[in-house]
Amino acid sequence: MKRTLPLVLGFGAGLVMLLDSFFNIPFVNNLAQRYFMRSITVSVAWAVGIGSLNLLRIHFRNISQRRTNWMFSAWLVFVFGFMAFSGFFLVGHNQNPFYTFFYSSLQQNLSSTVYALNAYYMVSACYRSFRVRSMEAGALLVVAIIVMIGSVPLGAYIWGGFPLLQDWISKMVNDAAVRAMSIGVTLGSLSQSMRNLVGVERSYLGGEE
Amino acid sequence: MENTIWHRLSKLDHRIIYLVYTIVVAFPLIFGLGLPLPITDDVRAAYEVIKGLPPGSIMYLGCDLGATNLAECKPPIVAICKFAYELGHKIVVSGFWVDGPSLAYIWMEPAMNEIGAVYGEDYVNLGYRASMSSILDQSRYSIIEAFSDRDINGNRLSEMPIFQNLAKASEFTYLVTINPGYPGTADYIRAWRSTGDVSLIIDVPTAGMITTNGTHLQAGLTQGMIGGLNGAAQFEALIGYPAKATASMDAQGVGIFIIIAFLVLGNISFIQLRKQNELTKGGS
Amino acid sequence: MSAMLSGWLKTDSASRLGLATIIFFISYAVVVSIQYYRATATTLPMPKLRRVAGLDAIDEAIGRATEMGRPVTFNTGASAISAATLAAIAVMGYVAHQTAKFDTRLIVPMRFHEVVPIALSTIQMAHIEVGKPETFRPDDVRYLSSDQFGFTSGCIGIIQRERVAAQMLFGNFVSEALILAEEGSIAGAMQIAGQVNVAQTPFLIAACDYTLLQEELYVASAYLSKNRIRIGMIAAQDAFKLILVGIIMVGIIASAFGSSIVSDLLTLY
Repeated sequence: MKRTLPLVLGFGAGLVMLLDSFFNIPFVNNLAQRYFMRSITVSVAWAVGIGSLNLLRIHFRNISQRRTNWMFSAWLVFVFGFMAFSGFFLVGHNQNPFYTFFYSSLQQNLSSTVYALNAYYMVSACYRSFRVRSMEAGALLVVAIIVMIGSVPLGAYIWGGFPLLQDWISKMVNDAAVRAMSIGVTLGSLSQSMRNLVGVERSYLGGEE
Repeated sequence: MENTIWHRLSKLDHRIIYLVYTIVVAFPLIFGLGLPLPITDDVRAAYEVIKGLPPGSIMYLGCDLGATNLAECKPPIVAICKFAYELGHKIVVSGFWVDGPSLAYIWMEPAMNEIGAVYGEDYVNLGYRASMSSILDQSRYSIIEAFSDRDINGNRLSEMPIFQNLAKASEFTYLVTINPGYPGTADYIRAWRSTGDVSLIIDVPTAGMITTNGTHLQAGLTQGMIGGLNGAAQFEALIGYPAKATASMDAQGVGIFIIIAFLVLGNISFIQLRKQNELTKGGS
Repeated sequence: MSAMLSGWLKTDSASRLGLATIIFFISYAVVVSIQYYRATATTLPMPKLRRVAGLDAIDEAIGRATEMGRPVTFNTGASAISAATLAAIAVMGYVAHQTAKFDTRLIVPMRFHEVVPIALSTIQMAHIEVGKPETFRPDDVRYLSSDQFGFTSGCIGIIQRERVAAQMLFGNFVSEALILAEEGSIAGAMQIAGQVNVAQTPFLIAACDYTLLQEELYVASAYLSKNRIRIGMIAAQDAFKLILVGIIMVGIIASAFGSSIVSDLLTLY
């Protein structure tokens, strides 16, 4: 029952959504649009609480048991409480200048800094991993260099043909390959979804069948 | 043999690579090189689409982005909103990433105040909602109901002048989707384009999403693409408003060449090491 | 008849049950049924799945972590509940089973709240199945942040502090893929990636030891469990892909001769 009931509910809900996509059946359409879609919104919003409680539980335990690096957990809990308090209780909530100051000055810039690490890691990954071990790898390297040069203004400044070559490679060669992979991924996700819908795949319930 | 320059190069400390990269990219950021900026067809198409629409057109700006996308997404958002306002278009902003609409609010507010746009009349921010697919599907019937008649500040949408002529998604003239990841453009295409509600979509992906979103443009599902910082710089040049994106292009170009230089250097050291190993084996 | 049908059927272009959709569903159903019959009739031979190096390497990675006495991390990526995440959870179940068996620590950083209870129950069940419920550590399934790079920073911290010996990246990844993979590489971890985002594939191929290409992620559950019905569904998926390729080829040849008969037929209502 513990595993059968979720499977039955999942199948039923999936069937309703599938029927709603194609058929005008008032009961099914109302159930899907008015009830299920709103339920999804509400349940996802509630899940925010689950994640937050999980986070706080782990870090409170780190602090209470004085585990390694517990001071970082204390800092996290402090910042969590500080931003939650200012967002919930100060006038204007998340538009309050106090909140937006910390959000704009700290989080945005810190997030952008971590994002910028991508550039450095790209350089080190290229240096460490792209080795011409075969003819195909060599051809890939040449094409990659042409595409990289063609995608920046400096490339057009060196030779006007680089952007044209880059555009041709992107639109004719790359798009075809991306489409082929996208078709495969779409079919794969269709198959995965069907397996979940009919209950063949039950790993999300925990454990094998 | 293990102390040759090629061996040392093949084992180069990644911190040296990062240091060289930082120095080389910082130079054009500080001093600028003033390189010319060619305009691509994709960006020009996006510009022509927006420019060709009459005053009173309503744009939906999908800000599905995060704080990390400040560098790549803020310049095109500011440029597109300023351009749209100058053409007399109305702007409705929303998003389905937690930070997206709040960030758009913070980035747009000073720019829109500067040009005299009035909130509620010329533009509105609907705020973040969870569950994109259900909200987009509900918006096809009633936007006010889908967003619970509240904007990002809790004001009633039904009392705003912009919503006097706007009831459902099919009344948006065009859609501009800022797309650094998922969910994004593909979801708007599924929910609004393929249902026939909105037929004009301008895609504004970050550089990492250009590969994937290029297929939408080629298939005609989107009508223009302003891709990455390069696209944003081109758009700024077209509207005559060079700003942050334009200033970053020199550094981006130099950065690409440094990556290519390291690629080539790494492969030269690899080939030389392989030759040395073959000579050693042949000798013994 | 058509008036009666048009009352029941939706007519906007996305919802229209057009000829293409009908052909799609019928042929998919036929292929799935054939494979399901083969799977349940245990005397009939099942199609063999080709070797997927990345999936075979999972046991090697867990063995390496066990010998080194260091943990394994499993990352389910940047999507909430989606087909890719569900496929990743299927792999997570297998990894949890193996790590529980060998008493290896499994750390699962999470980006989305909705997936946390699913991960917790999957790993707990794995520990119960191998007869070691007391070794389950709920604190090792950690919600970090919904912010993309807040989550990435947390993962970097886990990789560096815990000195992970193996990192598995399964699911849908976006810009954080390269950062996670490079950090794992710097920490000396063996890395296996299986993700569906086309744009991130080159970065993961460069940075990881083994990479599953796009749809190989969806095969993982059948490949690892060797379940007949799941293998049958994979065979159905591949057979259906062949049918689609055939239709595409006919359409290409027809349009090369100036005919749009295939696309006209498929959009016929």
